Amino acid sequence: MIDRKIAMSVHKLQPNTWVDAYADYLFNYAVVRVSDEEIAKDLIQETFIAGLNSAKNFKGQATERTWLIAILKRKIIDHYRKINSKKGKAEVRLEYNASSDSDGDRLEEQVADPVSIAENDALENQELGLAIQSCMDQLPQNQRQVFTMKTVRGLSTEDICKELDINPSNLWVIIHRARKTLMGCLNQNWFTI
Amino acid sequence: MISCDEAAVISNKSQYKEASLSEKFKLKLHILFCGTCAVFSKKNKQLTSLMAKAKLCVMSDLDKKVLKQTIEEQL
Repeated sequence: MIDRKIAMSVHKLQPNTWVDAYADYLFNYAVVRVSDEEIAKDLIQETFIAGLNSAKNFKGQATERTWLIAILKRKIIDHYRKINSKKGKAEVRLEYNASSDSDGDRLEEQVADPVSIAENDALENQELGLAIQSCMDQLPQNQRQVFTMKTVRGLSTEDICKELDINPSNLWVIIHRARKTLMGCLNQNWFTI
Repeated sequence: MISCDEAAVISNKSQYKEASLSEKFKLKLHILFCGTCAVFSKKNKQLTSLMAKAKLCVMSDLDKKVLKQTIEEQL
């Protein structure tokens, strides 16, 4: 009976916690894919609204976050469809590129090199970003807040202390706990020791 | 000699370039004799470089507030 209660509470949607719990994760996910913060913001808002409207379809099989990401993916696809139809239909043509002086001047031969280091790095950094973000989401609220202000937004110790009304040694204790937890949470394969 | 707690604080501060020269020296000295802190300090540095590599971005508090209001209106 108790078990069932716990299971139910795990899989129930709690829209009033969405922003605090998932907004940053979804935002990073979207920014990487649309490369524009304003568009990403709009997409997150659309995602939350769509989530509310289709809350009855949430069967509780996935976690809230997975479910929201699934909606966001659709929104991102829709976004690209929209800008594509504005520009006119996307065209794929076989064409020789006259301006190129390389050996392979067909368009297909100019696609990105699958083993290129630059692209693999970019992909790895995306993955890393999401891994860090989901670890940060597990931090207690005050640790997450202070750590984000300090590390992601790069605010000074003084400003943070003023804004949150804490003293510097407090701040360093919080930062220490947060960093310690993140080191433990980030999968071992991100570290070389 | 400083304690491990003090060493940890200095290590954290230096991740944000806020440790003084003498503090850094004390930490270096401590690490020579303390394996635990040496590992912590190394991992701490790596965490910093991972954070830099990930280039995370956050929504501003204002944006979040607006978003929350939108959700509440829809509820």
